[in-house]
Amino acid sequence: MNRKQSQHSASTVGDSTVHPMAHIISTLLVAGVTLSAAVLLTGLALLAVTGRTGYHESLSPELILSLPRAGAYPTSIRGVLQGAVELRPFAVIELGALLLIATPVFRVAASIILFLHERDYLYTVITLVVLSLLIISILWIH
Amino acid sequence: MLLILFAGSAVAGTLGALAGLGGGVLIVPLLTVGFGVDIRYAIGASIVSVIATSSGAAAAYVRDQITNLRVGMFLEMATTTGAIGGALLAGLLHPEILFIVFGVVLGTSVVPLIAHLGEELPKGVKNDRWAAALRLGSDYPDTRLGRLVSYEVTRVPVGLGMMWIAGLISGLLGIGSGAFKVLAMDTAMRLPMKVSTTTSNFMIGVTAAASAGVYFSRGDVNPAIAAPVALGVLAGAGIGSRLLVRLQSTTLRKVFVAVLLIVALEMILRGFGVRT
Repeated sequence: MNRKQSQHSASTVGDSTVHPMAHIISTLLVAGVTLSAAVLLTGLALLAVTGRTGYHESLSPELILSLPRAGAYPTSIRGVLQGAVELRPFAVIELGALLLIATPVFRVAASIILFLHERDYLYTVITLVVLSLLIISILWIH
Repeated sequence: MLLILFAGSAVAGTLGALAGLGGGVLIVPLLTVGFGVDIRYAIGASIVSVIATSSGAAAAYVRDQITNLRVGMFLEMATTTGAIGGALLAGLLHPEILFIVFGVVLGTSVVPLIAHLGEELPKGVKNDRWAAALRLGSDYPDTRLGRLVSYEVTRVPVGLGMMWIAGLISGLLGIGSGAFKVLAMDTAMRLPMKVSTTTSNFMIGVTAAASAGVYFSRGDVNPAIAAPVALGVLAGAGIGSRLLVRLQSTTLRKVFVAVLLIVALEMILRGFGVRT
């Protein structure tokens, strides 16, 4: 079977097997979201048990409804990691949020490897462009 | 308070997944109008929950083999570029003006959708030059029809342009702009409705990730709001994606049109400063 035929059969669903690429991307997305959700839940549980945010302010309706003071929670990757290691509830929640933001980026990176594996060079390049754009947008902030 | 935020977000997440919306357009009004949360934090929580909806639901869709990965990846070049442009523009333009423009665009886009309403699958679509070169046409198993549905793709440059605008609006307002992505694939590129909605959900996460970092470093992701909202939306997205596979495209389209009209009206009113 030449490559063109194998590609065609891989994208056909008649053989009832899930395309390996789709399967890997699907697993990666589930893993990323599950991990993020677990970290978010851990942060919320810590917040509920300790009743503290780990930063200046305590949990109150004002913290949700109005603008908290600067330093009420970390806003840099470094600050989030430091706070999360110290098990500060708000830092743990922010770590969960960062993991959630990272999930699509890892999904795109995995797609590059998988398109390469399929020898689909056109889509390898297209996916590389998408990943570069994501990295540029992240670098822009710092 | 945290539990109410969670429950409300779960409902918004279910609707969002069913309509192919990121949930963000429903989360921002829910938080601001419903709970009185400051708009900055509503948008920050929204962009994070948008990623949760997309990644959570997309995982299920990929296994169902309805999502077109090639179409998604190709169009993501436009949405991420647009999202970066939108994030840069955010500081320059008055958001009210864009709310009105986008509301009007969404409102008028409902017309072709209603005209096609009886159509289960688009007919007579032929690959254009771009779609042929990029191998965009594909097929998917329709569980309700019980067969494999093949489709071709047309007007790729128009779709790409619409996707850039969708990305721009996503970066500017902190929403997934899934409605506009579905419109680009459904009305311009004439993809089957199910493929449009699932591929849109798949793309929203990447588009949102391109601008989410900006909101995070600005301090707009308030953990007390973002955690219950993201978890609520995730739960809702799971329910929505399970319902989607069992629903007819026609039913789906009616839900989509209704949601679109409500969101369009809400955006226009908001642009004129009317708080409903």
